[in-house]
Order: sequence, then C-alpha cells, then structure tokens
Amino acid sequence: MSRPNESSTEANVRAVRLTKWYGRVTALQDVSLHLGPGIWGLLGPNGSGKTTFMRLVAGQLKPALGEVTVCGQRPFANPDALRRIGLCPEADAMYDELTALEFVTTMAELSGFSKKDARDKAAVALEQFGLKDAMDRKVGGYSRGMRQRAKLAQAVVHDPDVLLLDEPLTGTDPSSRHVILDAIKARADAGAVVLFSTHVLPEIEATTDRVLLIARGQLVAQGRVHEIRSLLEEHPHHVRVYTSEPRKLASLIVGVEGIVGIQFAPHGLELMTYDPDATYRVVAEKIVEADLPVDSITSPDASLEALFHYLVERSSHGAGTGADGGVGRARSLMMGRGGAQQAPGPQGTQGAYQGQIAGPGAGAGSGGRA
Amino acid sequence: MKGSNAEAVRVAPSTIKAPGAPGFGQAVGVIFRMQIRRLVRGRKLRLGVIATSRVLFSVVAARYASQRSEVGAERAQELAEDAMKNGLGWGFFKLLVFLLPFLFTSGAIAEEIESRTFAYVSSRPVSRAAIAIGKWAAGAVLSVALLAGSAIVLHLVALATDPAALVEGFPATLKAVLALSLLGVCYSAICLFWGALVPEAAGVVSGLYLGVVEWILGFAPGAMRWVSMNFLGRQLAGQEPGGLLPEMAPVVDAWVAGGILGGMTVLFLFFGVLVVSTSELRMGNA
Repeated sequence: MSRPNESSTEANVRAVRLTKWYGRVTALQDVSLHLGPGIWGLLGPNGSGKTTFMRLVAGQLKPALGEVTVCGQRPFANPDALRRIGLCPEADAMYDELTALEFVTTMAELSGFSKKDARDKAAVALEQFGLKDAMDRKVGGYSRGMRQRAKLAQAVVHDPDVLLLDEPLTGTDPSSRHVILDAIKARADAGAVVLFSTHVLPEIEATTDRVLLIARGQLVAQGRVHEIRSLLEEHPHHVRVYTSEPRKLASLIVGVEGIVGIQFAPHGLELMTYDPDATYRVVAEKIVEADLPVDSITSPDASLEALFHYLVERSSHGAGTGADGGVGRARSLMMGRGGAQQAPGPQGTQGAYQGQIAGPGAGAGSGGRA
Repeated sequence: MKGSNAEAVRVAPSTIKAPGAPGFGQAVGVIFRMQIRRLVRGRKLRLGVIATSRVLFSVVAARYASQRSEVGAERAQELAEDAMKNGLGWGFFKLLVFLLPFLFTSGAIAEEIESRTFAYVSSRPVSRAAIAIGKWAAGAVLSVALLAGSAIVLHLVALATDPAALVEGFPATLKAVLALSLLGVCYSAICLFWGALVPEAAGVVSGLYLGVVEWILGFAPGAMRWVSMNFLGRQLAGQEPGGLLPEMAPVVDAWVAGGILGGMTVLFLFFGVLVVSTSELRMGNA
C-alpha cells in the first residue's frame, strides 16, 4: 500500500477507519474500504452518511479520525489529489448567471487546461450529455434534468480517475438516464473508479452489481449483491415457485434437508432455505419426477432491494455493524482482481475485517433465478 | 429541440488523462474572471450602480440648486468646492465606500457555501488561497472601479461651470480617489474574511463590523479613531475629521495612514485566505 500523499497510478479510493462527526452527531463511523476501478453503487437511507462519505472522498471535508486517500493521496485541499477527482454534487445548485459552456469551461480551466483546450473539452463534454444546442444558454433557465447533465459534464470534463456522483439521475427523464448511464459506464471502462449514490435501487442494478451499503454512518456491507446476500446466513433465502398445484408440491418437499419453512401464497409456494442451490436442485427434481405444472421459480430476495432492506433493518436494530456476526461476515467479503478489499486498519488487523470468507465468484448461483 | 437527448453523442474516453493542476496565477485569473462575470450579470452590480448614481445625482442636484440665483464668481467657486467636499465626505466616505465592497465581497465565499456551489471550485485542483484571492480581487476591482469612476464624474460635473476649479481641484480629487480605492480594497478584504469565517451570517457580521468599528468609531473622540480605517482614509484624502470632539482627533500623516490601510488589508486578506484554506467552511452542515 502506498503511503498517503504518494501518488498511485491506478485509480483507487481507500478509507481506513474513516470517521466524521459534526458536533455530537456521528455522520460516518469507522469505515474501511478499498475501491478499485469500476462502478460502485453507494446505497443507504437518507441521513445514513452517503453524502458525508462522498464529501470526504472529494476533499470537501476533513476526517475526524482515520484516513481517506484517492490514488494514494489525501484529498482535502490537495491539488495533486483533486485533479484526479470529478465530483457531481447532490445539490441542484449551479452558477445560474453563467451559460453551460462558460460554467464547464471554467471548471476545465480550473482543472489545468488552457483557455482554448478548456473550451473545446467543455463543448465535447456538453455534447456528450446532449446539451449541444443549449450550451450557450444560462443554466439558470435550464430544466432540472438539463442542469443535472451540465453538472455531470463538468464532473467528467477533465477525464478524472475517480468520479463521484451523488444522486446523478435526480430529475432526469428516461432517455437522459440512458445517456448518463452510458457515459458513466464509458468512464468505468476507461479505468476510472465511479462511485454512484442513489436512492433508486433499479438504477444501481442496471449499472453495476458492486455495492457499498451505508446505514447509520457505518458500512454494513460491500461487494457483489449475490455474494453479500449469500453471507447473510441468519436470513433464510426465499424461493418462490409459481405453480397451480402448491399442495402437491409441498407434500413432495416437506422434510427436504435445508428447507426451513413452506408457505402457501397466491402464486403457489414460498420456500425458505439456508441452502438455495440445493433447494433449487431438489425442487426441480421433484417437479420433474411428479410432472407438476410450474410456471417459474424465482428468488425475490436476490434483488438489491431485498438485500438493502435486510441490512438497513439489521442496522437499525443495532446489529448490523462492527463485530456483528452475519453482517460482520458480509463486511469481511473480499473481492478479487479489480474489486474491493477491506483495507487493513492502522495495525493491520481489526476484528470484523479479518478473514477471507469468499473469493471471487463465490456464492455465484446462490439465490439464482430459475 | 434544445438540449434534446436524441442529439447526445456518446464519446467513450479511451484513456484517463487528467491534466496537471493549474498554477496559482492561472487559478486566481480564472476565479477572478468567473466572479466578475457573475457580479456583472447579477443583481449586486445593478444595486451598486443604482446607489452610486443616486449619490451622484443628489450631490450634483444640491450643488446646482444652491446656485440658482446669481452669485459672484468667488461664491460660486466656494459652493462648488463645498459640494465636492460634502459629496465626497458623506456620499462616498460615509456611504458608498461601505456599501460597494459589502455588496461585492461579503457573499463571495459565504453565498457559495450557503447555495452549495462552493463544491464545484473546491473540488478542483487549485489551492483554496487562489479561490479566496480571485474572489476578493473581483470584488475589490469592481468596488474601486465604481468608487473611482463616480468620484471623477462628480468632480467633472460639480466643477463643470468653473474650468479653473476643475483643474486646480483635480489633485485633491485624485487624493480622495486614492483613499477611496485603498478603503475599497481594505473593506473587500474585511468582508471576505468575515464571510469566510461566519458564512451563515456573512452579511450581518460584515455589516456590524463595518457599521460599528469602521463607521461609528470613525467619529468617536480621541485615540479611538485609530481603529477605524475609514478615519485614516479620510485623513489621507484631506477630509476634515468631523464627528465627536474633532479637535481631539489625531492628525495622521498621509504615509502613515496609507501604510496602516495597506497593512490592515494584507492582514485581513491573510486571515481570510487562512480560513478558506484550512476550514471545512461548514460544508458538512450546508
């Protein structure tokens, strides 16, 4: 690991026991992580600490404890680190007196481009976000969606290594979203770290399956959605079987090892299991053997939304953090190449951060879709 | 359709190539231009121009109203000189020199923090000192331009009927312009400092400081006047001390007054830059 303020060529964000409080309010507590290139979804309820985390990474705030580095350097008031960061803030605030072209050109000049290059780069960035014909109008007269796109244009105009997007799709229409998500993916493909916070979970699911979940100021999970889900052992997986003969199917699978609950539902059956892979296999075999009519088999809690609710619910009961068993294990998830790793603490070890539970691809197939 | 999404061009960046950070001077220049552009297009410059025009109009109207009847040439010159002195004293040294820097600089940092636009500039690879100095320079330049320009216009209009006085009085007017300019620059630094230190109440705190320390103490008896840069500016311009017990007011050499004004400007600017450079500027609360 490079020492702070020793620039790293690979795009990365690293936090070690990062803590921030405002007076007596703890906004972020003991967050340790390492983000490599790619898109990362940052999820959490309102007031959970997402924006504080973004601001710390963007060098807007100083950590109260711990450390955050961007490409190996502390970002607060550090031009060497800031030149590698692009920030699209959450607030719908802009310099309303300026045209979009002036605004983005100014930001490009402040990023180090000459006046002419800045103007050219700004025009390309605005064109990329569909503002070619509106770039000479003052942003004060823009719609919310257009302002959002102008904000994104200024965030990417200098080709940053680390792109921080705080609710970037707010106020945008579906076609704008498509344009924005394409641009985000393009930056990630070019090797940037893209941290993307949103309340709208399908937006994350459409973009990436790598997420960070923050609740009550703490990082409750990070990694790929299905891998995190597979580590939540205290929550049985739900498997939905859409069939017109639920009773017959129930009689066939009662007593099957791993199935801990069976419920009748309007669509058929809902099974609870700690071993979804085995359950899928056994249920499929029984269905074939008995020649039962089945429309589909799905897992409702393989979705990000279900995972989000599990983790937030646990966190609100004071169980989802620190050395907590289930989620603590989820926190210790370590990803492979280009993925996330729990950064070691100052002494190299930290309770819940120890131990590699799952390697790359672990858990794949669990909670899968039939 | 303007801003149509259909016209979006997908440009996939092939490589990451963030440029090097800009130099300090370049950053100050960019911030300065942006701030000037915003001020020129915003309401504040209009307010400043309206206030300046009203002062000019009032002084010129009073000057020519007092000379409606036929008076001798000597009396006419006296009236013109009085109009200049009172116009500069009350209209400029006791009103505009406070108002213009307050308008242009007290919100330079504070309003950006409150409106949350500061994130755009502070997340760029420029030193925060460059941001603060660029914004201060823009406010100071506009203040000085309006103060100096309107003082010269006042001189030309008020003394237009007496070409001899127009020429003879010009050095005194230039001295007043210099003093007003120094005060404008100094007050811009004071407003920037308070705006950065207390962004949520920048206008109130800057206004209180200028009102109490600069305005009221500028007319206080005796040595208390030393704390008021306005008093020193008036001394530099050759204005009469006025206020409470004027005979007790210190007499300050022009070089001393100018030196103190310059020193205070540097001091407030230094602390303003220090606050902007080292503080989170309450962005966590905004």
